[in-house]
Amino acid sequence: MMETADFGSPRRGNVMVIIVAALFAVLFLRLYQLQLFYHEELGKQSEENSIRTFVKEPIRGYVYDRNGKLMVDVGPSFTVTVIPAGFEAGNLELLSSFLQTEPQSIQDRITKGRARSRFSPVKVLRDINFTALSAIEEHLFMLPGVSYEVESKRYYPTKARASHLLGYCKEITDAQLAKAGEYYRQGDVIGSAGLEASYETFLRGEKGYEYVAVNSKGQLLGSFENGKNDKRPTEGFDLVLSIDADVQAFAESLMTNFRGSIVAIDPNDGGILAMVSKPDFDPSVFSGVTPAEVWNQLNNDLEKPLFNRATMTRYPPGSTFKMLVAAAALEEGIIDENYRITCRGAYRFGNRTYKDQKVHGSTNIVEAIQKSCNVFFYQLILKVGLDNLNRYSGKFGFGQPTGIDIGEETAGLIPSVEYYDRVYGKGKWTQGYLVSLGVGQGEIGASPLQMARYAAALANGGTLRQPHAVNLVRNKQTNRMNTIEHRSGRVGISQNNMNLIREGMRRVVQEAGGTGGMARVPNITSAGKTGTAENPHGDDHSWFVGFAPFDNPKIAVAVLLENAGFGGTRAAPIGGFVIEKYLFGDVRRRMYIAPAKKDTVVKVTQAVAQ
Amino acid sequence: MTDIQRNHIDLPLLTAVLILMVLSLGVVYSASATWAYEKFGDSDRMLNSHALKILIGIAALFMGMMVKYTAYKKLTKFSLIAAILILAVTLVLGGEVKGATRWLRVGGFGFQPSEFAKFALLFHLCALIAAKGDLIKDFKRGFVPMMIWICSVSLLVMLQPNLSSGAMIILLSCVMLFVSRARILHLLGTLLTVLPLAGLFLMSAPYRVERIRSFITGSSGGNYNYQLWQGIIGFGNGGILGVGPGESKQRDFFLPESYGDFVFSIIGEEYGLLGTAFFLALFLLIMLRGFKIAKYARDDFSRLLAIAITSTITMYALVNAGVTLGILPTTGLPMPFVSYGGSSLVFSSFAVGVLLNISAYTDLHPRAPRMRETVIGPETDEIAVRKVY
Repeated sequence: MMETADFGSPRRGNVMVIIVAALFAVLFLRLYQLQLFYHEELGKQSEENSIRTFVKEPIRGYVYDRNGKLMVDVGPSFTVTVIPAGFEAGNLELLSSFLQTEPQSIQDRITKGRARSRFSPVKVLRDINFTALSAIEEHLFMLPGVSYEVESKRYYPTKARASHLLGYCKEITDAQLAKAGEYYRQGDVIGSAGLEASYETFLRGEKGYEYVAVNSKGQLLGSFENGKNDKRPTEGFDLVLSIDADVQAFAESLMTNFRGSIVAIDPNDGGILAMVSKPDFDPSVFSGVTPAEVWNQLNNDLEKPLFNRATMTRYPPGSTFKMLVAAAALEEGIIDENYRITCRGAYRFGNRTYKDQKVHGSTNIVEAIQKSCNVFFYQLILKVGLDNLNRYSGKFGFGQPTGIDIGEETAGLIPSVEYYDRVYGKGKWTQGYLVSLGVGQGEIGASPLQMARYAAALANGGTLRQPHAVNLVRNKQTNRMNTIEHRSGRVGISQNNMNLIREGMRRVVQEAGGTGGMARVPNITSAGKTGTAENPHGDDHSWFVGFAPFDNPKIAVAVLLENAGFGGTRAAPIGGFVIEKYLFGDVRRRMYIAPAKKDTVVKVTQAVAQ
Repeated sequence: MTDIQRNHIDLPLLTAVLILMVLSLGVVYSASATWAYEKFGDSDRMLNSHALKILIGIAALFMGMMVKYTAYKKLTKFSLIAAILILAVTLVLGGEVKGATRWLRVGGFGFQPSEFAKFALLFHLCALIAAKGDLIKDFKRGFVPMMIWICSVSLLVMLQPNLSSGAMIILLSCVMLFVSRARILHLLGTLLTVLPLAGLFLMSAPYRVERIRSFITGSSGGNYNYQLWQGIIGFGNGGILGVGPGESKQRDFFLPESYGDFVFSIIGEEYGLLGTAFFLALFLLIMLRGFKIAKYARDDFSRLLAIAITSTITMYALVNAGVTLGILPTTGLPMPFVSYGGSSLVFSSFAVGVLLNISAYTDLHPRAPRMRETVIGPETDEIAVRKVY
């Protein structure tokens, strides 16, 4: 062994060893003291003064509409719990008769819970009815180990369902549990769709804990240390929506016989006034316990009621897209208000003939919008070109998510040179592909929400706002209302050009020869555009976008009816009714809505699913 | 230096560490099964994750054992600078866990850079001291440069904020300076300047004040903080023989996440005094073997390295046990090889590997027969030795 003289003091090394050895000695002494000397005393503490933790569920936040009307209410739901260690097996029959359920199902739950912990309460049956609750309550003294907990349950007091918008809560799945933070435990309920999911952290509140001392037999001795360590649950925050519950309910009633969607937006702030997606579902089936068969039925329904058509479908917008093509052409200086073409009822490009509804004759841009002249736009789009179309679509928010606060949405599709190159191969596609884009047909897709936002931007003179359903959040601790910031930006269309487009839209609804006359609302000037989207899988989809009042717009709306036919006769009147309901509080004329065709259901849902 | 003969590694040390690792599987399982079931519906979740980390730890240990310790001499400065950079990056980008940014995620794996920085610093100190020799007594040229390294690492760790790890880094560095004959005057002087600053830092966060207050006022009666007191009840309840594997009652209600820093009290409850004494004895054995290896080490660098590694493992075990037994204020330090947690396990395992490598170059366990004696003449030394082998 080599020893260096000038370093590594052996004396100090020994000091170190002695110090550490002394520390070990202290630990051994302490262990001796605790585990031998105090064994009996501490063992008794452990035996007698054991503590149980009861989780106190917070009250979930309420949801109000823009006028302060309660849309989502909270009520108590009672859950029977059993502490496995305290439960007497002989009581199983009695308990199951009170709960009107099979003894085996209760036994299974208790067995499963016992494996986890003998002392923690197991939820054996959730959301029991009042008869069962009173029977349990009366006989608690006979049923050691049995108790009940109060949990929150959703109620929907208005006529509006707003199922896709409000969403629902469900028992947390394993996948959600793995992703969610420390907060959740198995058996917890979590917002799983719509606002319930996107505002989960606001709505849920914070769980509380109550520590209760129990003896070795599991009998309650009282609260532990006078509740010093208890934590009260904190209430979830309330949401105040931009939705008008009356308009929502009315819009839903208009859609009773249709598949499709209505989205109404306040063009001044981007707040959603109503959002309908049909077919829908009754959100109250998700409060309390959702039976597996109900869930399976909703999931397997061919009409896909759980699917939010307002944000998730992307259909060609048809002629409602013409204002965008017009905006691009005017703004790029390709045409002006004096530019005219002569429509002969069809347009030939390459070896294909593109049809129009009728012969429109000499037409300028305003008239082309008013009469929905296809030939005008077939020619125009070739001048505008794919790159410009793409750029202006982006300015109006197409081909990108809107950023709405209810979760899932599609970005839609606006084809670009790269897109066509990818799909068909470089040089293998022609300008002919472009022609149908000019009238909103072909490989182009937008959601009703995107269309409503587009209508809102045309209504307010060119400001594209982030659509949102929640206006305010009330903090239940401070009782203060908190506002939420939203993005907005200008689409960058000059005042003069915007006026031309808006004038076209006004004539669509207000003047003879417009295609949207059925959207007219008495005593007010409105504007809009109809659309009929060709559908290779079945009947055409019917579109309408519009806004009113013309000079000071308060509502912009988009209506989509799947396979309903002409936009002017199907979607336009529905748009008019929604506008009237919101502006006047009621519809004072005789309402006629043509019945829907129901025969193409299966084909269409396949298209939706793609 | 001529090629030193490689002898056998110190088997008692290796055995002690492996036993700790194997036993930790049982303890972590017992402490985490209920929680993992409630959280994930899978009572094996933490066990599987812990077992994987132990396998990685064993791999790290063998890696440390294979690489000759002299290889680190030139690497220490570089890795220390890297460690400081990583610490700085963690402060800016790290993931927050319970209000502290101690984690860095790289490609899906999270690790605590402070564990790496601790060993990087200690290794570098060993290299510096070994290179400077007596110069360490010189304040300006010996003592101050080392203090700069020590302060920058510990400060960055404390800022996370991870006070206890920072304090341990300072303590272990001081141990190194102490055993390497730094002037006591310098050490004391530094300590006297640092202590008031540390006091101020302590008071800057209410939870620290609370912990220390509850420690001071609590030690006289049953007024410890909640978790600690429940841990102590666990020790007492265990008695001599313990309540038996998996039977801990405390863990279900009172010791949340006891598979981490409070794993020792689960050992105390389930395996009693026999269990706790056995675990402590294993650490005592690690310490004794470590210091013995240091004593027999061939050169200054390896001697210091052996002391550094041994002190680190031992001090962590002592502080962790001391905390759970209520004789030290609550800190978040793991028990090496036993607590659930990857970073500490992997780096400690690697360090023990290095220690084992050092042991192989001492005469503690010579290979028999002593080949060296058969060599004729110093000139042909190396060739002859190779031939014999």
